[in-house]
Formats: sequence, C-alpha cells, structure tokens
Amino acid sequence: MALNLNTLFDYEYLAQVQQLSLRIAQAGKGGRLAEQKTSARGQGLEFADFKPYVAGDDLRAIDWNIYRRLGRVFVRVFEEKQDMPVYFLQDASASMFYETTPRIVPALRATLGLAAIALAQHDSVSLMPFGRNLDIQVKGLNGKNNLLQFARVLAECESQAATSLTTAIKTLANLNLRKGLVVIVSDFFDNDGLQKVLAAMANLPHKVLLVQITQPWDAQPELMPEWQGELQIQDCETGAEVAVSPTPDVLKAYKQVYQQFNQDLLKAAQAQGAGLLQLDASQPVLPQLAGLFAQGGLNL
Amino acid sequence: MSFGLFSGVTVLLGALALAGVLFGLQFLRPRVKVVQVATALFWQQAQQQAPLRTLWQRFRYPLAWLLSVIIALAIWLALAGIQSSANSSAERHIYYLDGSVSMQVGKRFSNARTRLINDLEQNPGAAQEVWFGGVTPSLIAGEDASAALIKARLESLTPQSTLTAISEFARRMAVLNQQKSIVIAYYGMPLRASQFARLPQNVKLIQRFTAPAVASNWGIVNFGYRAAASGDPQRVDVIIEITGDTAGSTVPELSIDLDGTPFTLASAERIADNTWLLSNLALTDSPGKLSVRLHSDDDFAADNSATLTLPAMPRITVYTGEGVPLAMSRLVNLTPRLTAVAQNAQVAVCLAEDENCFAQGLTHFLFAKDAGQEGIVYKADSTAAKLAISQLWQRQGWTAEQSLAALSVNEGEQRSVLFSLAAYEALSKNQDRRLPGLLVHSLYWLTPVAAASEFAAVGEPLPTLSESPLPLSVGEMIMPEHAEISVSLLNRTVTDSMTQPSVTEIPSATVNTHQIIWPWLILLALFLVLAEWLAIVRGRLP
Repeated sequence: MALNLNTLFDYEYLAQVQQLSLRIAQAGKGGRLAEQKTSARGQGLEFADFKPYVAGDDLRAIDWNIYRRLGRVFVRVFEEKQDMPVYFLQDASASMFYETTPRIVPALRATLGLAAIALAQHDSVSLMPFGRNLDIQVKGLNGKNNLLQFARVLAECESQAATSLTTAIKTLANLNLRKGLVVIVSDFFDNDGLQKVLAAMANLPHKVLLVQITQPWDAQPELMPEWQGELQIQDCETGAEVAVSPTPDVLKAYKQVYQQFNQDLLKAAQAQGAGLLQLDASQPVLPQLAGLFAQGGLNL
Repeated sequence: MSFGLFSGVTVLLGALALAGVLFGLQFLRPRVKVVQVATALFWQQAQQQAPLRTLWQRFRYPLAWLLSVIIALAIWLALAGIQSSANSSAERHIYYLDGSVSMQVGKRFSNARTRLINDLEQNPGAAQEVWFGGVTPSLIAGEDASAALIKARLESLTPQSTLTAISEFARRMAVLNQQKSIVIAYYGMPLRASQFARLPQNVKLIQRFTAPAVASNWGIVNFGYRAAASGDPQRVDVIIEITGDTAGSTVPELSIDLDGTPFTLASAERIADNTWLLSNLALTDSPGKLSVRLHSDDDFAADNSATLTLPAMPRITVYTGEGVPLAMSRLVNLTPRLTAVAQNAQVAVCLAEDENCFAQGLTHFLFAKDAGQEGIVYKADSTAAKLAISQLWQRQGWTAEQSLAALSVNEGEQRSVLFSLAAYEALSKNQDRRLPGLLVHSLYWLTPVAAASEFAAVGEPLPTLSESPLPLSVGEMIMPEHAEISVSLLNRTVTDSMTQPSVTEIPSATVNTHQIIWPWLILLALFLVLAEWLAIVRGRLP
C-alpha cells in the first residue's frame, strides 16, 4: 500500500499531540541540554552537590561561605537536563500492510504523533523500521522543524517480507546507544513467538513504550467476512496454512490463545515498567493516543 | 406395510440410490475458502488446543454415512407415502355399496359407485374388502383382489329391488368379528339416526356417499291381503295404503285391477287417510293377480306400482261315512271349497265307532255317541296347529259368553276332530247359526293347506333362511322345494326417506384403512438432523 504524506501529516492532529509531554525517569547523559532529567552534573537550576574546586571550574560556582568557614574552595554543581533519545522501532512487516484497512496507517500516525511530542520537547528521535532486520533510517533528529522530514521518511516506509522483532530488539541492544526511550510500534506477531520477543526486550537498557496495533477480528475472528464454511487460514508472511472448521470449540480455543498472548504482553510490560498502548486500527488514533497520556503527560 | 405413491420396487430402488449417492458424497472434498490473515500463529495453537473431533478414530465414513442414510430414507419413505397395515388384526375395513331399491333413482347408484371407486384408487394397497348390498349382501372383492377386477365387478352391478340391509349386515359382521373393530365405509341412501343407534358397539359406520333427496315422492306403502273379516274362507280383504307429500300436493290417482279387470276406488272402503280396504274379495280357482298403480310422476317410480298374487281357493275332498248327520253331507255339497268323494278323501267324516270309515281319509272328523263326551275335541299334530285352532275360535267368537261348545285342544299324532253327537244335536235343534261355520272351519283346519294366509310383513327384508350369522352371498340362497315367500318391497321408510335431505358426508381421510406413519418419519428425520447438528456443533462428529 502506498502511503500518502498528505494523509499522514495532519496538522490538526499534530497540533493536538504536541500539547502532550513524554518523560522518562532518567535519560542517559551525553546529550544536548534539554528538558529531560539525566545523571549528568553541570549547568542547571536545581542544586545537586558540592565538589572541590579544580582548575577550570566556573568561578561563579564557588561557594564562598564554605570557603570562609572551612578555608577550602568548593564549587556547587547542578543537575543538567539534557535531551532524551527516542528510538522508534517501526514494524514494517507484511502483516502491517495486509488487510483492507492496514495496520500500518494508524501505526505510522501513532509514530508520527509520538515523534512530534518528542521533537516539541527538544528530544532527539530515531526511526528504525524493521522487518526481518533492523534498518536505521533516521538517527538523532532534533528540533520541531525536522518533523516534516521525519514524516516524509515515515511515508516512504515500505513493506518487508517477514517479521523478526526479536532480531530487531537484539540489534538495537547491541548498538550501545545512549539510554533513552524505545517505542516499539508493531502488531507483535512474531513467528518466533512472543516469549522470545519479551526475553529480548527485557535486556534492553532503555525505557520501553509498546504500541500494539490491533484489529477487531484479532480478538473476534467471527467478525471476518469470510467466517463461514470450511476455511484455510493462510499466514500472509510465511504462507503457512491451517485448515479450520469454524466451530465454537475452535473459536473458543483461538480466543483463549489470543487472550493469553495479550496477557503475556501486558505482564511483560508491567514487569519492565514499560508502557503499553493497544491501538485499535479501526478507530481514530488521537483519542486512543491521548488516553495513554492520562494527565497530559506520560512518565515512564 | 405399503406405499401410497410408489410401488415397492420403486421405493427399494430409490432407497438404494440414496444410499449410494450418500456413500459417494462421503468421498467429496469440501470446498475450502482460503483466508489470509496477519498471522496464523494463533490458529495453529488453537487447533492444537481444540478438542479432538473424532471419537476414537477418524470415522469419516461408517457412522456419518449411516446417520445420513437413516435421515434420507426416512424422508424418502415419507415421500413414498408409506403406510402401515399393522392394525389389520384389530380392525376390519369394509366398503359397502348399497344396492337397494332406493338407489334406482337417477344417478344415485352410479354416483355412489364412482365415489367408491375413487376412494379405492386413493387408497391403493389397502385391504379392499368390498361388499354389495343387494337382495343379500355379497362380497364383491376380497383383500387380494386387484383394483381393475374390483372396478370391473362394481361396474357390472345394478341396484336391486330390495331394501337396504346395512343394519343387518353390520349386525352379522359384528357377530362374526367380535374381537375386532369394524369400520364400514357406506355408499348409499341416507341412514336414519335410529339405524346408527342400532349399530353394534364394535361397528363404526362412515357415510362416504349419501344419496341426494328427490323433490317429491308418492308411493304405495301397504298392499296386502288377509282372511276376510267376515269369516268366509273363500274371500280375502285387501288393504291399500299410500303416502307422500301430503302438504302442498294433491293425492295422485290410484288404479286397481284384478287379472286385468279394473276396480274403482269407489268400490273400496276408505278406512283412513290414504288407506283403502277391498273387503270380501272372492278367491278363484286359480291365483289371481291384483295390481295397483299410483299415477305419480315423481322421480322414484319403484313405489308407484305393486302387484299382489292372491291365493287360489284350495279344494278339500271330503268322505262322508254312514250314520253321519245328513246336514253334514248337505253342508259339504253346498260349500264350494269342499268336494264330496267316495274314497281317498283328505278328510273323512265318520261316526267314532265306524272303523271302516277311517281308511277313507287322511284326517278324520268324528261324531262321538259317548255320553261322557259333551263338547268338541281337537287333536293337533303341532303347536302351530293348536295355536291356529285357538285363534280361530277366538276370532269367530265361539269362546264368548255363550260358548258354542266345550272346547278342548289336545296333542295327537295327526290332526283329528272329535265332536259330541249330543252337542251337535243340541246346536242343530237350537238352529244355532254358528254351527255350519264350526263344521266348515273344522274341516278346513284338518287340511294342511290354509285357505288364505295373511300376507307377509310388508316391506321387511327377506326372512332369515339360515341360523348362520354369515351373510349370504349372491347365488347361495337355497329355497326349500316348492316353497314360496310372500314379500312386499313396499316400505314406508323408503318412500318417506326419498325426500329427506342427505346427511353430511364424512371426509375420505377417515376411510383410510391404513395407519399413516409418514409424519412420524418426518419427525424422526428432523430429530436426527437436529441431533446431528448438535453433535457437529459440539465436535462429536467430523
């Protein structure tokens, strides 16, 4: 499906999402001065600690009162707020592009909205679409003005053959990037199984936000228009086929499996302190996205 | 077990074809619909977790096929009109075509016959026991008769000059089949409520065809003779009675003739409305034919004319012995019916002590000189003879207050009369006018042939000729040699019923002699389909 930048880059949508804020507990240091808390000490407004003066320190930071009492020279150090690197792992597998209302559209809109939030608060964003492998298309993009560029890259996202979210996460972990926020936008349908994905995700040194793109018939297959007669279920990525007689027993078993899948994903997210947003592809993105930011901001 | 719509061979071939088709269908691969989804991972896991849809092995063929065959056969047999004759041992079904005289009107009989044939055609394979109610009910076709044969036999029938015998027929059938329930489909003249009321308990009568009423009808309902009330044995009284639509129509003209000689009603005495009496009609040496004709143009002509054969005046030969009172000899000579002979007479009139006289006659009228004998003694050879003489005395009034003579009736080997000579002389001396009658009727009584028997009951069915309850079939009636039965076909009920409206006919469905079981088969098929559906839904069937 050819994505259209005009439909993706919705000013009204972006203006509304930019009012939201995205925070993590502590971003990795080494970035530019910005608004996210980091472990770095330096310039800032909030006092952090004292340290003995060494040559080169700013003379304006010397605490003369301590010097008068102790006769030794100490300088005040402050918490330095820097930017937060946000890494978007965008699922570009075939399953995201399949179906009459493909999941990729709401997925990209969610990615763009989150990116807009990050850029608006002076964070840096990176876009890493993945299929079988991770592909870094945008790295460390800063500034509001670059949102259009980010959107243009998103619109050029193309379908890849298969999904290997595990590989993508492992690859990301091996890049040794500055600690930040990893946003995984995917349907999480990995042929290796969800458990491997969750195990790989647990090793990520970043905060994680999961955006799960769903369709109504994921939970209720009977909503599929083809749901009658003898069915041959075919995987759109691997081509694997399963003969299914749509009986209540099979339907019940499917729903149990899918419910277990969601529960596993939720438990993993809770264990890791990650956020989880289930985004229904058949519904507007903005209300669902705004629901994630309960008080206007999301703190991970 | 039979089939209403198809032959047994057709049903069998259809059943085999269905079973074969269903067996072949088992080998067809289902048409599957390929559905592409985002991932088949969940479906693979669901298939592994779903309960197995086989009991112990994949029974793709035997049980599923058997169930399908049962359903298909149930529907097929229902379509074939299967019907059970399992109740034949408890019920006997009879078609009865009335062939009585009232069915002669118009197309009554042919319409009834057509309706019967139609009913038989609509109920093929049934126990087709068809009876024809003619002079005696006769079996037209038994259960094994073919439809063509029954139809041919029915079309050869015509209504007969007899009364309907359905009530008697039903009674006899009830006696013959006491352990069975009898269902009679009736095609004939309308029956009255009293006839239904007299039906035996195990007989159910269904009126499938009732003859329509005619517009109007006049008919002779009573025409017969009896011994003349005057006591003259050489004469009879004749009664004629007609009935009809007395309201709104005039009485038709009536003409009477005896051996071609016309009578006029003016010579008859009108003893009641529409009833005439011809008194003291003289008998002749040969039987006379008395005819009466009602000049009515109604549709039912059978009751518009009647003919009565009057008996011939019988002759009695009398031998008169020596010593017998002279008046006796004169009486014999003066009585037309009596003929004096010199020997071999039917009746010998003798003195009791005249032994030579006995050989001259078959029966004897004896005058006794015995002082102990005062009256008259009849020796009868049968109970009927005793009754006849008693009734004669009562009718003639000889047993009234002034008794003619002391009467005694005894039993003997042959008939004889013993008359006290003293009593005779006393009566003769008193010139009793009853004496000649006493002598003549005593001579008549001694002869076996009655001068004029009273006519048989008018309009009644034939008298029972056999004690067997089995109804007679046509040609089986055996009459005693030289026997004659006087019977009139005239009947007030028949004449009256011609103008009565017909009753509601009962639908043919109730005539069906078979137990209909196809609805049960449809229910069975529906139940099995439901059970199969539930089994499939619950994963009990592949």
